[in-house]
Amino acid sequence: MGVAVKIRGLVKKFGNFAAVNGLNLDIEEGEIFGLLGPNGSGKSTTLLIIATVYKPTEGDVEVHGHSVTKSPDEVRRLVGIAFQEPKALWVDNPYELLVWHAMVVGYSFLDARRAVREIMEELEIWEHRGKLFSELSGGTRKKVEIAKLFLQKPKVAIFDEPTAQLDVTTRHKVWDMIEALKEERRTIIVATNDMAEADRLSDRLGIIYKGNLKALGTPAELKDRIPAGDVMEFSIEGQAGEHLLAALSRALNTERVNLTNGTLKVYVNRAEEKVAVAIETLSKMGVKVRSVSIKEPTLDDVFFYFTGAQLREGR
Amino acid sequence: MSLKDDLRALALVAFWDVRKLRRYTFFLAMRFSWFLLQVLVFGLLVANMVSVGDLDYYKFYVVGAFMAVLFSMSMVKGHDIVEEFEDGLVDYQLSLPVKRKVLAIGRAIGGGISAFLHSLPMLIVVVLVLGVSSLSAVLALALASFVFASSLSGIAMGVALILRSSDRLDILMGVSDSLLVRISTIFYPIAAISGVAVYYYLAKVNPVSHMVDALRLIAIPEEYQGSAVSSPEVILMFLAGFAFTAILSSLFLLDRKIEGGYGR
Repeated sequence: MGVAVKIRGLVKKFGNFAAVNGLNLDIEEGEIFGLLGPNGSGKSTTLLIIATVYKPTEGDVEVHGHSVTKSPDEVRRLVGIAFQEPKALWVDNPYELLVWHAMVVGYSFLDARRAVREIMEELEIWEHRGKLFSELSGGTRKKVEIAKLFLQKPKVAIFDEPTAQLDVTTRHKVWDMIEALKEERRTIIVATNDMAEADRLSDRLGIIYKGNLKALGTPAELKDRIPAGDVMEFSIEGQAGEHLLAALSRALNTERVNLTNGTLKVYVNRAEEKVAVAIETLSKMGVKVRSVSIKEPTLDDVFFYFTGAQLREGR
Repeated sequence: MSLKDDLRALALVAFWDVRKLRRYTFFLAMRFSWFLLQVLVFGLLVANMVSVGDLDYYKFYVVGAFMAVLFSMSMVKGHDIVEEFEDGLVDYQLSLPVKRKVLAIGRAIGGGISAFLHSLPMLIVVVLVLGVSSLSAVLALALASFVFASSLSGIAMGVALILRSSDRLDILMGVSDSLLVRISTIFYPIAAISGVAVYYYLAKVNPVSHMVDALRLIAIPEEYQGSAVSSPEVILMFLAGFAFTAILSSLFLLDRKIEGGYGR
């Protein structure tokens, strides 16, 4: 597998404001790459540069070896984007719009009609095919927008907030469809603020803040990078005092151990590797463990760790 | 991409504007009513009051009124583009697997077809009122109208893409309508304005004068031969040069300068 998207020294300024500020990033071929970041962090601007809608102020992006500045026509043949806000004329009806889109991306008229019907039925919007766009609900408009990309099936598919405004059932269906697209060896970039979506879909994640990449890795790697991010919770019986907490602290190499109402909480990294040591230590101290549970940090925690900390610093 | 692919994309991009015809039903009805009023009421009244040599001012006025409509219909395409910017549709189109040059030409042609189709009922009125009986003359009128509409639409779209603001565009369109339509031979024969040097020379170099006089030379050739802004050959060369410059400028702008992001 090679690099599908190579971003080097990317800067995009709007007036004096740098929306993207020296971004470097490689997105591997065939992966689902999640791009996380608060509003205004530069996610959408980066995606729009990859899609050749914006031009970089400095730096460059290569898509399968083609530069967005030197050969944008080639890049556009490889990249497709489903925008955060659905794009259509109010006088459009979904069917005509999608047939037009399908033909622009290479379908013949007959194939376009067939493919559009299939995708509209799959997304359960066929019944809305003849309505004006202005008459559609937000969720239906969003489905029309992402249907464009499922029709196009580009080598690099960019979804900007793909399931915003969608109901739970449809969200899962769309996630399945995105994963199916990956099975067809497409590279997929998903910009999202939905941590469940990022966790479910992403092979790797990038957290972007103030136009810069703050963290990069698999969801598990990023969770592990939070100091003492895992929590082991023990429900215990027996004498538990300061000596017990100190012993646990030494054995597990952590300073964060506390006891409240018979529940012992120990904060560590890679809790699954340390739980046996913890139980053994408790046993040696004469404490009986009734139950144990391990909680990993969520991506919310990861997001706050890499961006929230800096937000506080900025105040 | 092959030439065949580019031509296919060009046709599809042009179709984008044609699809929007239905949104203009009320606008078209208003324009058609305005045109009928101009031609069947004011034109006849003014023609009785004005005398410019041997020129039949009524016929002159009818073609001028049509050109004024064609001009405003084409300029509306600028507003369409600003609206598309606001709705993010320009971003969408810029992301499609279509060359920028194909996108620029396709939108200009689409705008031209759209403006031409909008003004077609009025062209039919012109043909009927002037009694143009030659099929070749009717086809030439239609073709010239389409080419002029495409050129003007392309310019309007290019200007709109630079301005990115409906307010600024409204002001500019108002000014251009005043200057380009009024300081031209749309309503005033060149002989009638020859006494005011500035007006006369501005009208002589105004592309709209050349467009409307080209239409007159097709519709009423014998009567208008000696009254046009220039000889037919010069008019043709002037318009070809104007179209060439307009297309090159638009392509340069779209290829090098234009990017998405309304409001940025």
